[in-house]
Amino acid sequence: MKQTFWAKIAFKNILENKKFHLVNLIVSVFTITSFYLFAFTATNKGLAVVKGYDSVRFILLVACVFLAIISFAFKVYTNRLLLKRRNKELGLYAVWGLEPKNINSILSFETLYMFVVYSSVGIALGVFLQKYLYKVLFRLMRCDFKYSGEFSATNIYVSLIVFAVMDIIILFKNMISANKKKIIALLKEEDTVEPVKKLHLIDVLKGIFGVALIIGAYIYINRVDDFVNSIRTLVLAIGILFVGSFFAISSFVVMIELALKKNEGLYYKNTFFSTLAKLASRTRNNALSLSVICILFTCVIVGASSTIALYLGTENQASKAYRTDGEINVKTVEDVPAAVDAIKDAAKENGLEVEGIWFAKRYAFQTTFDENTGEFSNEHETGRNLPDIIEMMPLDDFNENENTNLSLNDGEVIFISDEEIPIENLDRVNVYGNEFKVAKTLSAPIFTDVDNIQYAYKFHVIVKDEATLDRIRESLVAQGNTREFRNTILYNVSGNKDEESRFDVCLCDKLEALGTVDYMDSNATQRQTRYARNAIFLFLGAFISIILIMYMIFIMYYKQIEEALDDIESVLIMKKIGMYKAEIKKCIFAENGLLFFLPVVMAFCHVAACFSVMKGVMKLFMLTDMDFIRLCVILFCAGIFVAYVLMYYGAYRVYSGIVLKED
Amino acid sequence: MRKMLELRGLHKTYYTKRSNVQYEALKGISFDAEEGDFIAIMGESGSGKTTTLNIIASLDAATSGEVIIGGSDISKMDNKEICRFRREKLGFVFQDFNLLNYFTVKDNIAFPLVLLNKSKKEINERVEELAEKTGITKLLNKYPYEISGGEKQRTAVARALVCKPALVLADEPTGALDSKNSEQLMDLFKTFNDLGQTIIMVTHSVKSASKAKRVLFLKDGVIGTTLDKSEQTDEAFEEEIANFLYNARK
Repeated sequence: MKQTFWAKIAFKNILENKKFHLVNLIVSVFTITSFYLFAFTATNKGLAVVKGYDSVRFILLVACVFLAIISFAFKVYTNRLLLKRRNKELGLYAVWGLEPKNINSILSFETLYMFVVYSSVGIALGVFLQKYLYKVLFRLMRCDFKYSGEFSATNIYVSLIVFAVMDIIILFKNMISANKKKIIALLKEEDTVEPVKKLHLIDVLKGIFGVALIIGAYIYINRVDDFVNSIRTLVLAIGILFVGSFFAISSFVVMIELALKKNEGLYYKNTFFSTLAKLASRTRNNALSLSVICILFTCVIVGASSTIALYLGTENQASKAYRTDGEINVKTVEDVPAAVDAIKDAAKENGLEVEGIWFAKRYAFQTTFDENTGEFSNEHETGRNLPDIIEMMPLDDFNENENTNLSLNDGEVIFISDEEIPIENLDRVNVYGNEFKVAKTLSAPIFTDVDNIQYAYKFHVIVKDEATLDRIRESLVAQGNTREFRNTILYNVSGNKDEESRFDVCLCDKLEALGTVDYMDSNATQRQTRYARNAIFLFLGAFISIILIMYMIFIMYYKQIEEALDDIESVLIMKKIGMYKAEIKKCIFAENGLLFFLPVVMAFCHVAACFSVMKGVMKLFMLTDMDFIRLCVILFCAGIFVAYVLMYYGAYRVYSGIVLKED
Repeated sequence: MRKMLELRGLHKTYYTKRSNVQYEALKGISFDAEEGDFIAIMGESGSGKTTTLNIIASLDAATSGEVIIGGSDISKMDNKEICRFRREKLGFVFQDFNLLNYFTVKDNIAFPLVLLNKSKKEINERVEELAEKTGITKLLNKYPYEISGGEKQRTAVARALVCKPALVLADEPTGALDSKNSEQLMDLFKTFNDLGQTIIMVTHSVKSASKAKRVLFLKDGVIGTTLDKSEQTDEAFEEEIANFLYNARK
């Protein structure tokens, strides 16, 4: 038979099953649009004007790969759901005498139609949106809008190829699966759902194992303190949570439901009877989907609320980068006056007042500190994943910067520790073999602290004079530590954020011309860099969250249709027996509600357990206002919960619409 | 004897949605059933017998006419009253059993009692009583997919009778059963009828109809002939029905 015949059948099949394909189509359109937009944004030349362009571009390219991976995973999963429903239809084709190659033709044409529709609509939508999206992105980044409007065929090709490859892999999988199964197996595929009669010992063990896995994942994730290298840990924890959630839902929750069912006083109540009778089997049959929804929900909350908190907290982060407006490190002490002049000149040129300039000679490097012996070295086992920092400074510089009038004798130091390490009883410190008496202990932070590097704890050792500092350095050089002194100039200027940004650009030019500056950074620079980076995170977070939510809706919608179709007969029987429509609706509402909100409740527990990790990651980005992060998470949870309730209501309407259709 | 069911001039016309084509399924059905009656309705496919039963069961509404069950005119009831009436006064036995697969046999039987908010004790007592009478006591904890067709139909009979309904309606109850199970089921019906249960049954089976006290023959939406069993044996009545059908087809 001609291929056009199979092409027509495939087309009719899609139309016949439109309620299954439509949601899939919408999700696919949005996914390919997002992929194209990510690729377009990453490769558009206009992005080069953004501070931190390289990292922003890298983040976007990683997001493309991430999106492709999650899209493929969800395509495989949703295809599994769709194919299960279609097996009977494929079985019937075989009964009618269609050969495997004919069935393959139908499947291929269906895939082709879907691909053509979603990819053309998706790419067209992407091309239409690209400029507007770019505009929004630049506004979020608080940068001047630079859009390179050239048409990029490469991004379109890449998007098409990536998604075509996914579809071809899934098509081959479907072909193999349909051809491998016996006709009778295909015909009976839908009728495999059986009620859960009782739990076996293995189910009880699985349930306990699931709960144990979840608790284990919570403990595991809360032990992370090296957030820089914690991606592997987080992925592993999410994997464990997923498996744990699956076992907990499929066995532990079912165990509770069966226990409720055993309570006849409760079970034989009109309100609970039908709901409890079905719940255990529905929970078990849907365990995988519910676990997927649970993890999606967790990821959406964690991902979206983190990126929102990061973006909204950008000002907060930027203002905390330095305790003054900026910091300059010059090569030698002799270079300090020229740098100070540059600050004054730049301020004058921009009509600003210099409010203060401070200098400090600092000697800082990574170390480990044993708080029991007071010893700094590289040998200790602290159990901390991040290194400690030691920073030494002459007393005169300290007094000047901190506006104090402290004094020290020979061999004495002032010891300033991190707030979290108690050192009141420390009377001696040993800095790589240099023993000092602790004349005074103070608690951080101090004026010259800079927080935009990661460490476990930071300690300051204030020595009597520069000569002492030189002696310490000599002994350390002898031990192989080649770290140089830092001649740090801190400054404050008047003016608002825009004026400070202009001053910052002007000062950069002047310092560059001097050629004696090792390092220069400021809150204004930090603000621009952070806005750019956080805007990209928000952009990616929003898109990926929307995609995950769409997959969540897809799974729910599909499951609702699937179960509603299976439930039509039961509802009809209930009506024949004399159940009111309102009673049936109540049952549906309760059953679906329990199933819908179970993964959400679990997801909220997961989020609460992951909060310390979120805090840690936020700290990496200098967002240390925990109340603000908590508020963002709570507000986002509330918002998404409301959206979820609406989704649930929609799904309930779909379900009851199908089962009570003839009314 | 008290009249349990009165049908007065029942008409039912179906309209197609997209055109104005009408089909008159019932053209004025009238008959009465007294308490303890056992009526079989026979007729060819399309004669209107299932439509009649569905209207009596309040699963469908008549276009015109009255349906009075135990003194209540169900054609004047609203949806909620009909549901209440159905759960309190009627019992159903269907050809395809209509058991809920996620309920055990016990739960399937108990379902109408739960809807009536009966106590746990009453539910257990009544279910056990009916299970014993229908011979399915050992099956109470099984699920429908674990039992045979005959056992499923016994479960359906137990469910139909569990609320002590005024009227049991059976639509082709032996349609999905083999001859042995059909015989057993009809014996069960007869036993309950002997105890005073009013039963109205639609059937194609002459043997099943022969267990009834009266057989109504429907043809093209009207009652053509009525045969009374009177004092005849089942076998003699079966022969009379068979002869009637044979002559009618000539």
